[in-house]
Amino acid sequence: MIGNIETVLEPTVRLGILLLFAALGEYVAERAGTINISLEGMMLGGAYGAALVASLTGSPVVGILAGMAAGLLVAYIQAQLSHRLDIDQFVVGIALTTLVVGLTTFLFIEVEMTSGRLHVLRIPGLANIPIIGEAFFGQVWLTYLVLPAILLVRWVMTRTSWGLELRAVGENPAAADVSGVPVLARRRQSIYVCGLLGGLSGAYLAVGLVGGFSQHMTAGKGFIAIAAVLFGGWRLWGVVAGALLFGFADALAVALPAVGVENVPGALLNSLPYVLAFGGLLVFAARARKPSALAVPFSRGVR
Amino acid sequence: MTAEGSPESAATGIATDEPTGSGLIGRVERRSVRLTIQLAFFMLFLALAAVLSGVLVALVGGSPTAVLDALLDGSLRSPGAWGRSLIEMVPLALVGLGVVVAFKAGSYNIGQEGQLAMGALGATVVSLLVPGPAGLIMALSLIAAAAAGGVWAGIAAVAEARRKVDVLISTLLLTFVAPNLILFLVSRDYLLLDTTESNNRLASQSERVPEELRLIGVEIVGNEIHVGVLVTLVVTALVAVLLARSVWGLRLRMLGLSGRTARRAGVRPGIVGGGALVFSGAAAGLGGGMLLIGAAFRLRDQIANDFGWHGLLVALVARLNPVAVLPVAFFFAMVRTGGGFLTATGVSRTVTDAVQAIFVVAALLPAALMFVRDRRVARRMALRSVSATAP
Repeated sequence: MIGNIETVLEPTVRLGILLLFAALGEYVAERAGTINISLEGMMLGGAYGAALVASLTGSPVVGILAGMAAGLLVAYIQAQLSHRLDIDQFVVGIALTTLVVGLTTFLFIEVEMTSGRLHVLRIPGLANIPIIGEAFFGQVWLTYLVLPAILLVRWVMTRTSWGLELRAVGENPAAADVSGVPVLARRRQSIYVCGLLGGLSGAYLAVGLVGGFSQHMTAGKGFIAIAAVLFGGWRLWGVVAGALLFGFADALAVALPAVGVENVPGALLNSLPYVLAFGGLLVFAARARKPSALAVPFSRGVR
Repeated sequence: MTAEGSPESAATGIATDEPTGSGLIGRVERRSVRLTIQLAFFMLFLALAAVLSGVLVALVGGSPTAVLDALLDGSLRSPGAWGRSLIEMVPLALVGLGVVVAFKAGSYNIGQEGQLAMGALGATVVSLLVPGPAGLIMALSLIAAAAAGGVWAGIAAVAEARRKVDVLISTLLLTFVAPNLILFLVSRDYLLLDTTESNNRLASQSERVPEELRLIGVEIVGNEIHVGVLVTLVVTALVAVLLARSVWGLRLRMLGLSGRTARRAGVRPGIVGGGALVFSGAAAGLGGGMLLIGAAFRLRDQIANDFGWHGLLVALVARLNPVAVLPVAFFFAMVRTGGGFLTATGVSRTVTDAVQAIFVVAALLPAALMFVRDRRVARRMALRSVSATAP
């Protein structure tokens, strides 16, 4: 029984934190008023960039930086098109995700890549705690960065004027504009943050967990991360809980057969994360107070 | 998702027949002039996309002309090819028409891939399990396909109306559930698994739809096409006319342009917006049904085979113009059918994914350029009027 808990807990942490990096970025973008559905493209671009550069240079760390840069590149295009040239943000997001999927699929077949994996950092002492030790303290080192990342996002959003302005342009852009906040610039910057974190999430998947790239390897995880933000009611700790919960659903699909539960059909198990996300939204979406200007494009002088 | 913006802020960049930019400019500049400029931008970017695709092929050591040749051979020139392209166009166009309706109403349904798969499931169930005269069963299976797709989208519509769940996310999540559900159904012998002699290794698929229940086909100079092509033309005409000329179309477009204005005018978002969502699901489902009894003939979990995603892109490239959906869908169908001929050129067929994506992004940019241009003109005119009234 205890062995079973371990078998489920370890992938829950691994996959939950993968979602969490991306969900943190999406949280920042959504608080500033953008539903950034190119997150999937950012993650996939990050995974591709990380795997490619890591296998070229032989250094996973450089690979991770390249992955973040790839995420930022996607974010730059998304931000410029949707918050400078005023094209609908969803349309841009769909087109961009398609572009990244198409390009990475094609270029992947043409390019050979075998990146290394990050090394596992077992925290001495803590990793030996029964049941939870391996899951929380025996992961690849990038995993532990999630805690500083959460705290940093929290500090920036609640304690800096830049974070306050981000939230202001997500709630009432007209008022923010009158107070001298550059609304569109702040929204673009929030998407850049999302790109960096989304790229990091993809890099974590490619060089942290898998050790290489495969065709469309994110497989909708970006969309699950968006669902985690909605599920969390646009509050930071809710988002964290949502990401870990959906990570748990992902982990169940991996781990249930391993712990001897075999009479649940695999096909239905694979759709568990999506069903759970949908159910979660049904329960929580109506209660949450979303940023008032979420997905509303801003244009000065228009209410 | 109900768009709260005003007409101006809701300039999606893909709605050609709606006012995009400033009304001031509309008064000064004649509509025909604007349309010409827009068309010129469009052509420019299409050419640019074609060049870029060629560069991409050259980059990996292929020959752009050989690839183009192979694509044209596979989609138009070889025997029976344009018929195959037309049949491939049917699901793409139907999905695209649904997207047009949903997006115009501000309902961002992007789960067509799943709705199409559910449509195929509906058609399979009726054609394999319901006894009756062939013509009736054929019609019934298409109706079941549309209903199944509509229900799959309807779940999202109800979730939005009752629990404020974002359509964008809910339709997407349901898309990932559909193939798993189908895999479950076609891998159980007491459900839809093919248990005939020919499938003795028990691959996860349904039985083939019997000959007499497949869509009626005709042969035109060596090209086989089926009645679905005609149905697609009729649906296109219907959607175009209803959107532009009916009360329903007016309400729908009003809702998409400004949720607040539409509600003040008495449009019920749950009915009109949700209805548009269900319609788009039904259109995708019908496309799935046509795919199943017109081309694929048996159900597998990967039945949708990107038709849903590509159909969504068709609508975006067509800039939500229902009539433009047809040629764009045919273009996408050509790329899909032509892709099979690429092996001889040494370039992977996944290049078609990249090429399609490049065209999709290129199709967005003309609207952006128009926006920049409008802003510049407006500024110039504002300055002129200020200097004219200055003492």
